[in-house]
Amino acid sequence: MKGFGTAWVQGRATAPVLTLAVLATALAAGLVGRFEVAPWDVFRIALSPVLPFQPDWDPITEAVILQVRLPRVLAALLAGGALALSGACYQGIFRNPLVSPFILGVSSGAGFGAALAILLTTSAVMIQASAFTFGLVAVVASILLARLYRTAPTLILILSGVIVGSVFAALLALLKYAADPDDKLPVIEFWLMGSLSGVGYDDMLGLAVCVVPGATLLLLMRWRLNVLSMGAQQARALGVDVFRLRLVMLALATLLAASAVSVCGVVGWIGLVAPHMARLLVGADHQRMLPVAFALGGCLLTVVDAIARSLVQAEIPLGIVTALVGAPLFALLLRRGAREWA
Amino acid sequence: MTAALLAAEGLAFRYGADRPLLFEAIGLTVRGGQVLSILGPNGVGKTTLLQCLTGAHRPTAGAVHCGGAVLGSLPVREVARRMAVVHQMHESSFAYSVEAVVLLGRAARIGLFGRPGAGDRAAAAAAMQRVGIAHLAQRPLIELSGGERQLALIARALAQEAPLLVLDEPTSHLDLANQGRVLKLLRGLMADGQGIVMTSHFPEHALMLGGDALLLGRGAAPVAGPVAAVVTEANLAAAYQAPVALLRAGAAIACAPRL
Repeated sequence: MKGFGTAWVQGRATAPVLTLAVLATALAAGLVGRFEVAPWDVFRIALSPVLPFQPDWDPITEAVILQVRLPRVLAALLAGGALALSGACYQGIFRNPLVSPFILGVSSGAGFGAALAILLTTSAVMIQASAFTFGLVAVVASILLARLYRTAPTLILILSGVIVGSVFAALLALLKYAADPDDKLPVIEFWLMGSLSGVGYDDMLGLAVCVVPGATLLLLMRWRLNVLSMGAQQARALGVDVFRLRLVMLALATLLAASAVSVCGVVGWIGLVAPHMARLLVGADHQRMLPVAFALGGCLLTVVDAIARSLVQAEIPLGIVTALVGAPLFALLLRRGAREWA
Repeated sequence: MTAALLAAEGLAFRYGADRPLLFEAIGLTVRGGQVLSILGPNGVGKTTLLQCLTGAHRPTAGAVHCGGAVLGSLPVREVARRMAVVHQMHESSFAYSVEAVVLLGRAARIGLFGRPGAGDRAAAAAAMQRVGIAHLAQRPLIELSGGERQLALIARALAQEAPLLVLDEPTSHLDLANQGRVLKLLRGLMADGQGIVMTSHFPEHALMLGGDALLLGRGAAPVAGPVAAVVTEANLAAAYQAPVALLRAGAAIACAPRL
């Protein structure tokens, strides 16, 4: 199925168009901020570590671009791409375009993990590690719970995700109830609303360590997702070890979502909206759609983060902006795409 | 003589230890260029038998051999190279093009990190050509009519290039013209040496294709043999536990319930 995209987004031009879109978004996001920097300077400074530009700019500008904006933009690209790719894979595996990457409880688990670490420590690394770990724990619990029943796997998996998610949501509520309302509670609340403020190279690298290999493997396996999306019975008859492939793809998709959530908090919508936009642009075939979703997700979160840090004096939490931007966008896509998922 | 494409012996199945046997002592053999039609009333276990034959269910007793090897001992990828299955229902939430769906037939020949290449696309194109839907290649499958969709799924099975084709009620939910199209296609495939197993609610379709038939009955012992000997008014009446008329007008055959 050809999507709504014009011909040049399809066919051979896809890769260069996506690369250009990502670079343009990154540059635009690098321009945004309280401290004004000329576009050409942003471009030169951002590339100065790898290209031999004459450093005729002042050191403060360089610090703003290289130490503050660049890691943040890179982290937004990685996290957004990870959420979108994860969402697209979850949708393919569950054969349902309305599934989000959080359906098996990764966000509830991560929220609980982050809150727990916020209560017990003040270390940002510990908070990330705890969010990541409990995000994975929640998904593993959902999968193990579903294994207990053995029948109708995807439906039971979704129900298990609901069960595990609500348990972690209750535990999170318990932690919030116990948290000091003047000190810890606001930190938990802000974490849950999502933010990339203060993200540095160490956070960005931690994210890249998960996202780069995870996304590479998923993108390499993307044609197989077409087979999986036919359902267990047909995929098996087509010669695919459904149980194993589904588990591997779920594990990788969950790794992506957990790593993104542990760095930028619970940012919804990207994982739902970006795959839809990709489908409208290049069609449903995961061969074409998955790379587009990855790039679009990165661009979306970068744009949303730029809005979040520049719209008003204080930073607006990401979750609020993604919901305010994502919900109308999704409503629009639903209108155009309704025919496709009849 | 080469090994049969599909052979089963003493096949029995029940859904749980406390449930009654759905069928027992089923034996059958299918060779290249031959067709076996599995007939019988609703709920008698036709589809379940087919699932035992394709490895989707493990039989309670008996064994299935596929191309000389025990079915359960073969990896799914190898099974998919030996038999292609056309399932009864196809639902997808995604608007894949017909070509993309037919290409999925190549999954057993493409590695984990692989994607369809020129050879696979040629096989898919040949399969679409064979069933006569080449002109629909770029259309979304979910927008096609029931008949075109069935042909597309048969094309996907042909793209598997397996010597045995297994179809679950291929002519159900189709109008008369499309029933004819599918039956003619199956007859052509048989002439090309393809082995075919299918379930059907239409005994007359089994008669039109010829070959063997297996008639499962409600509470009656299954009747097996050449289709002309199996599909008789008396056998059908016993299997369906209802009076059935078998009508012939020249080359055309029809079965009808007697009211």
